Amino acid sequence: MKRKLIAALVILVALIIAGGVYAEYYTTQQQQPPVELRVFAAASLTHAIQDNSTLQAFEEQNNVKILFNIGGSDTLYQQIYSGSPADIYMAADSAWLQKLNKNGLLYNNQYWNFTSNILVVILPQDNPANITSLLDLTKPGVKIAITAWTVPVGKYTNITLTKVDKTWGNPNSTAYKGPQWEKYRERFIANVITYETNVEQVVGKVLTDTVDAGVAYASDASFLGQSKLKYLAVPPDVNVQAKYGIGVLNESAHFDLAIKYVNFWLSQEGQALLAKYGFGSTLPNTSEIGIPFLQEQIVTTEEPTRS
Amino acid sequence: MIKLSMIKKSYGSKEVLKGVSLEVRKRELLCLVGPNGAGKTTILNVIAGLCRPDEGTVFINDVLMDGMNGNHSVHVYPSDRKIGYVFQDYALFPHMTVSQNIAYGMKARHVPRNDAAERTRKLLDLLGLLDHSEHYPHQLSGGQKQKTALARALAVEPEILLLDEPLSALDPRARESIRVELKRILGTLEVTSIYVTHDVAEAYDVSDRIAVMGPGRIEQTGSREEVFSKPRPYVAQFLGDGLQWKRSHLNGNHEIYS
Amino acid sequence: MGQYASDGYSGNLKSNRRSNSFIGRRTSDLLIWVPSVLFLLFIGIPLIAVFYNLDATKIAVELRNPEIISALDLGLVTSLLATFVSFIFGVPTAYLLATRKFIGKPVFDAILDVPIVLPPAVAGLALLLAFAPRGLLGPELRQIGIILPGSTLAVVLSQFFVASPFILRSSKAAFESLDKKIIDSARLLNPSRLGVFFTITLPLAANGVLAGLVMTWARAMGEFGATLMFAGNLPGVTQTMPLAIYMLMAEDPLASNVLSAILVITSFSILIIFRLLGRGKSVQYYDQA
Repeated sequence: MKRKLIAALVILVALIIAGGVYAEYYTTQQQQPPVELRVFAAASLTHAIQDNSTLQAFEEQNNVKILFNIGGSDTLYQQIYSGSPADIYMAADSAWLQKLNKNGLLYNNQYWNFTSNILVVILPQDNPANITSLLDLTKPGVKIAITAWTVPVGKYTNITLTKVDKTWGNPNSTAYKGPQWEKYRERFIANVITYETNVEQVVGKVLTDTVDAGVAYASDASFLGQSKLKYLAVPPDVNVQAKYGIGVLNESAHFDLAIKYVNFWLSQEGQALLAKYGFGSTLPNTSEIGIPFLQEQIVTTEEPTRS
Repeated sequence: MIKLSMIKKSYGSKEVLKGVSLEVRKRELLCLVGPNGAGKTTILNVIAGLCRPDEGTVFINDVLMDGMNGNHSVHVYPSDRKIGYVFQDYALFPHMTVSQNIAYGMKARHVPRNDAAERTRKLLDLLGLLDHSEHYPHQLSGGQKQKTALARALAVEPEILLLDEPLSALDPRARESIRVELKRILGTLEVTSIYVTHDVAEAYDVSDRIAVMGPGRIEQTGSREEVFSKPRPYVAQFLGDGLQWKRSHLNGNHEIYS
Repeated sequence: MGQYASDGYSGNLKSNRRSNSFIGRRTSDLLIWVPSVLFLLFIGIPLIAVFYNLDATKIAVELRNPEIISALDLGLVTSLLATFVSFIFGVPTAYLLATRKFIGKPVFDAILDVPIVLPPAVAGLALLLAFAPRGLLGPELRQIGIILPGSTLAVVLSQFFVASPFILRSSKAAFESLDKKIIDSARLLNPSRLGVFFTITLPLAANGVLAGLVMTWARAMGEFGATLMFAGNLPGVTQTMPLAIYMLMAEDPLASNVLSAILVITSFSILIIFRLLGRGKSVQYYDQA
């Protein structure tokens, strides 16, 4: 009996070691051990920062291996604040960078706005709840997914909801649209059935038809295209412009490389890549924040275009 | 050889031993008899070192086992006391065979393997367990278990043997034959023994000397003739009918069971 | 469903009273089987759902993906390590709690039970606040060269934190149920306390300890919240299978489904192996004596 136990354990351990070796073998790219850069990035940036060709090019050119820790910007902040080793922090809300800066954790006390985003309502491909307007979101029985309020996109959602209350739903406002818009925020929140930890989870819930609608970024809409989801624009007067921040951490061991990485995102090339994935631009020459949906309240069936 | 002086032991608010003093001479077989709950097992545990008394001293062979030596308290570890203990319910190691049970103490003390095997075989033979040497405890009858427990205790050549109600877990039939065998074996050994029971007839039959216990204290000690013919008040009450019956036999043969 | 020889109801007697005062045999059988089957269905149907619409060919594809192998491997290594650590610390602690009395014991016991009721994310945060470089013990750890967040060791610790109560409780119950007289016999025969523990106490408690180990490992394999918070989500370093599945759920639910299937198969296999191995050991040591 004891022998069988030992034999089983040995086999198990051997299998695991074999698996590890296999994985290592296939993920090792360079001959000399490359420098490792740890990038803590907001979930909405998942696809843009992992764009295969760009990433590979950067890694090869600079002999660096980039390790991404992707999550909600608030969670990442907490980890960095507690001292989790990181070289670069990319958050969906510059406010988080500002907080780090106040605590003296940023290199040279610097951070940059490197892109922007706006909110968009995403709907499942078949739109089971038949949502055609923002007002429909407050219909009883509609199931909505958003992120927790502390996650940037959740914070922006809240701002938008408040804006609607204060303008469209406010009889004293010049933008008043009628009684059906009053207490919009309250009715919207009543339909929220889940507060996710990051925006990608919201997307996931909508993709799997778990909810009838979700609030995500234009970049998500752009990436997924119209084959997977339908979208509902959020008009600019109530929309929020998310300011994404990027900074180098003080305790990075590779300032020069980290700065290079930051500069990439601030450069024309980086900005173009971000635009490709549906993000806005922060270059001073660009007039528009370049988000496709400026029409109001119409379920769009067109693929979002990017200028 | 064993000397207990004013042993007191309480469990929480319950005072189990209220000042027990007891002497057992070398090679003597003392029977400790008394009602259930009197503290008989506790006394055995104190002697064995499994239970530390709150007050009082324990001497074995004039060496202090439990008590105060000057300023610091002494407690000799059970396995250093050269004691063999047959527990009520035998407490055999269920995951070991009869032989392994018997050999356990020797193995733990690093007795050379051959010597241990030899002694194990001798004990198996002495107790009639040779046919069961590779059996596990759950395959044995009550009597066989008890003999295994005894063999296990004797394997490490103790100077003192403690037996806690060795017959009480057996059915009446087995009790008779085992009792006889036990008496025979104990007679051949040269160990100091304490035999605990609540059965008066058993006590009378087995022992040289008897100590009668009341709740928490020893009421009377003496040879069995002394105790049975001149019992103190409590003892008389305890021995009760048994006493009358024994009395009538005292003048005849001393065998209680026919 | 078995003969109840002594339950006094022969079945031939007709009771005149409305038998409200006792529950009939059939009803009591139902009371046992119905909840059990429902229970099985409730757990089983989601498991079946994982495989229902699965594209089986995709499994082979995913299994060749080094990132997936990495996640799977990482999960297995860390959970095994965490289980091992739980054993090393859990068994002596369980023994202490089972056999000794000391001041503050109830508090000691309660503290060690907390991880079971703590939401994993909170556990992760607590670990972060305690052991991250700017945490409570951070500076001291950094001095000896240990930086936990972002490391595989942190994954092991997260799993250990949340899963250890299982081995603790199970071992403690096992030690408590041991017949004290057996241990006493051993103490009289064996001069070595450690010897008594390894030859008698532990083998007799083995069933309970092993059951606890399996539960600990299972919990560690599935651990997510604390790992995410404390160790982070770094592929190849801290991204275990549950984390990988979570990430994939967002962008590629189908791949996530495949990974879930892989995880279920792996976990199930290991559990079966342990069940089968355990079968030989659970000899009924104690008869009715």
